[in-house]
Amino acid sequence: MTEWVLFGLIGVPLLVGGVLAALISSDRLRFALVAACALLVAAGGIGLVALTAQAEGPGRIWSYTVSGEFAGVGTLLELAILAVIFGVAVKIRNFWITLFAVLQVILAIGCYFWGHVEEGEFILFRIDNLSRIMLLVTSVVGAAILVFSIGYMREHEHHKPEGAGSLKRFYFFFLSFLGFMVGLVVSNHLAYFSFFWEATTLCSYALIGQDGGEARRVNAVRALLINSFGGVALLLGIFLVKYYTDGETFLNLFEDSAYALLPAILLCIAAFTKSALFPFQSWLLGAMVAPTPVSAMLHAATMVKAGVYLVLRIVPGFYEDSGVMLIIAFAGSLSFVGGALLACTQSNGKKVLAYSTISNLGLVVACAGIDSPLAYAAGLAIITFHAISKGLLFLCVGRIEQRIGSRDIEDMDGLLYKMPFTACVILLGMMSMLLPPFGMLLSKWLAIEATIRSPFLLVFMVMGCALTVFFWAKWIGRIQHTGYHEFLPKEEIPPSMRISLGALALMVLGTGLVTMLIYTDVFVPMSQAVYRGGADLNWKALSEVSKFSAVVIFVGIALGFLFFYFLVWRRFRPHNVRLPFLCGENVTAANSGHDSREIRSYDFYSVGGKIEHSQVTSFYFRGIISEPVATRVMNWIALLIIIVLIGKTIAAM
Amino acid sequence: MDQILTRISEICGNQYVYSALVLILAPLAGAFIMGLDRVVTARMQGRMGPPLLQPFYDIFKLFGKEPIALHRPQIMYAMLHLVFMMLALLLLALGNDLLMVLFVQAFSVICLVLGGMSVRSPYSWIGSQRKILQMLALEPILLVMILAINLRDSSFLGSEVMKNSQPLLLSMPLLFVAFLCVIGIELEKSPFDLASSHHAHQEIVKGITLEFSGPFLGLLEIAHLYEVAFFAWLMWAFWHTNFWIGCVVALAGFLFLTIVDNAFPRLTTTWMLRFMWTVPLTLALANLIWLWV
Repeated sequence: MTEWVLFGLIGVPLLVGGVLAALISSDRLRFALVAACALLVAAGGIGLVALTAQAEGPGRIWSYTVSGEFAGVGTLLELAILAVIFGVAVKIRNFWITLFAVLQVILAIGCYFWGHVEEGEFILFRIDNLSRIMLLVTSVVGAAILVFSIGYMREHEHHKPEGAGSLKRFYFFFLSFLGFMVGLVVSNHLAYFSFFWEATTLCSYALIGQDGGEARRVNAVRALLINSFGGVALLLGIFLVKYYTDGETFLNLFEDSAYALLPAILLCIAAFTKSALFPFQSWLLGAMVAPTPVSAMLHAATMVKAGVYLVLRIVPGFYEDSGVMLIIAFAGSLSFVGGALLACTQSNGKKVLAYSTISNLGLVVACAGIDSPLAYAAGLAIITFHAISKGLLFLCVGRIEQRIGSRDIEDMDGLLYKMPFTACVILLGMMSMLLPPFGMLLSKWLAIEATIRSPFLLVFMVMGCALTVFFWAKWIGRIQHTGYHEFLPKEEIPPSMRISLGALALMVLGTGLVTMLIYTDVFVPMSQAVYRGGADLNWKALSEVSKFSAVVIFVGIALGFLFFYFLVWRRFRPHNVRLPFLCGENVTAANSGHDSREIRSYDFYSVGGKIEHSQVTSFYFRGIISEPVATRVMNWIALLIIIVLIGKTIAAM
Repeated sequence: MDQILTRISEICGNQYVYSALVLILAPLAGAFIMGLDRVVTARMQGRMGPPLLQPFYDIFKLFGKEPIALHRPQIMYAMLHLVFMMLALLLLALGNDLLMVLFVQAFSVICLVLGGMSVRSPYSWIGSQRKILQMLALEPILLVMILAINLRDSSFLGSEVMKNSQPLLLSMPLLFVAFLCVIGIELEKSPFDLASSHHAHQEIVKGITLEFSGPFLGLLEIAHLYEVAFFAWLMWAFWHTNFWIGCVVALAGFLFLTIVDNAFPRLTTTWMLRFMWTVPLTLALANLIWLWV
């Protein structure tokens, strides 16, 4: 029964959604189909998690075993997708992508024929808590993003650029992507895993180039190039797993720890490319040219999470070697600090979100590299809460961009009056990234507590945390920067967007309320399953942390808001309002002749009655840190770390 | 007599009574320290100075004024700032996880920053930007300090730290020096009084607190009292084994800050960032490594 839900979850978006969306011509019918698909995916995801959570045994692992012939099917699927990528590479005449595709084909075929051709049974799908977390994120957050895309794409159609792809193309790849993502997080057999991995790369390439044009083509090709390089590393790792252990599943990788190290590290490098960590981050920044639902789904909530999912999955493959773990933690920490630092220098909203995503993914990898169950649980927590919050933020930025025509932070002035609903939702999203008692802060708290095991990482960790506060506070301040208004207007927003944003906001609030519950019931058991019998000190830390209750703070804030509303909001009258101090007489709507409700309080009368305009922007470290220089420096350091990583692995074998 | 004392200490040991006592007595202690600060400053400048209880007179005067503001969210932020500063002090007094205490205190400061940024005033905006730069400068050191405490006592809980018989100052002297710099920034003492200051007006008028007046400024002033009490408690905790020596340490720290405040002029934010991320951070990390080894 459960397997049919799983097949449905993979198959429905892929076949029904993707193919039908491409065949249907009527826009209304297509949007209805997308909405139905979203509901089915969400229901399917929750249902699957509920069903598999009832499995017995430690870690509640549900597995689906098939006979040996299906290994061949996996390789065939792999080769099919590689053939498509090869075709694309030839068509765009890119040498490197063609080379990578050919290498991958050779490795895939070699892997199948090396040693024994698989005859016995093997576990094809394996769902444990880590997979369940990823499933929930993909299906529920993915469903909300799908619903949002209805309203967004409908509006987008009116002013899309020349040569943009059609809605058919968009939904074909967008819906198929959901199916591939689900398959990725449940696969145990490496050939199937790499099939789903390459399929998501392909979808990402297609979707980044959705709106056509030269710049987008360049960015899409860059994404395909870097991810193909990752694919080569992935297949090389898989080939080595077959070479050393004669098996092709994740479980084989962990059986024989003497030979697990090199393949695990290669898989790690593939994960680094997928998750856009330094030095592979340029594709994610370029991918911000895609339509917003793509940015939210692929480049925030799900696809880039596939990389860190892989790292967390293969931690047992290298936790024997503490030197290697330390280097991986360093690589992650560098991305954590680098992403946060560069986010402080950006005023383009989507780029800030992209750098923030890179930063958080780096933090997850750093947690994976710290040899402690507390850190592992922190990594899981970050994945979960970050996906929801970041998806929400990207959707809000997309909505704002459509309304005000700009994605620059400095243009988001006075949003609280222009678009109250969206402004409140985006404020909630940003506060959830930053403040207690929401999940993200609690996961950062866990990560910092875990860092005590590796004091060298401390410097990076504390610097990154401090930088994170900086750029969020700036942005939050800009959005609620407004004058006095007696009433906030009702915002005109398409219902699909309202439902989607509202649902995600409720999810942010809801998961914030039950954070510690999720922590003890989901993250800790997964962590214990991976770290069987770790050091005692860490279990003590885990239990100490669980005592904290976020409910108190939430209740306090809720009471405070009620208190504030009745005591202040209603009693505050226009006669209590004053204009700000500008060292000169304020220019008001009345005496300036402008017909604007928003009092232009940055203008004042100076000498001779002349109206002076003043303007203040935020602090972007201009002249202190420059993005190209900082990027180059960090890329070199990151490259060095990876070379050291590979060198140490080979030396340790 | 003994029975009465035991009874009193039993009642005080009760969590709710203890919390209430902390919340009532802390602003009194904070006001006393602030008053002392103003008197010492005045004497250093060759003046008589205000009465010792001047902070109280100021706050009562503020609450008697007409409530005016620029808009309502500003008031909400002032309230949040106060509530969370009280919560931070309370969590500290109850011996909770120090990292959470730090985060709640940072939340309180962020609420003040957002309050400053929510009004359409350029001076307030610049003050807020400088305040977040200040937070950027001091967060790493506070985090390193808490991690160093964990290395020493194997726990993040404040209650566990109190059980150790060796004073923190003896194992973390360099961190104490770095911590003094941090307190200087948080309490807006020269050379770090960039976002807002108690003394004469500056190039951004009153900075972050410019557009708060009347009772709402009163809320901020009370929050400031709690903040002073918060840092006084932390300094006292550096010699927690003996109550009186702890008080001496705290008062000596504040005295030092007052002297530095009067001796130094205001410097720039870039200087502050450069300084804090080099000198005190190096001291803090050196102490941390010493504890780790």
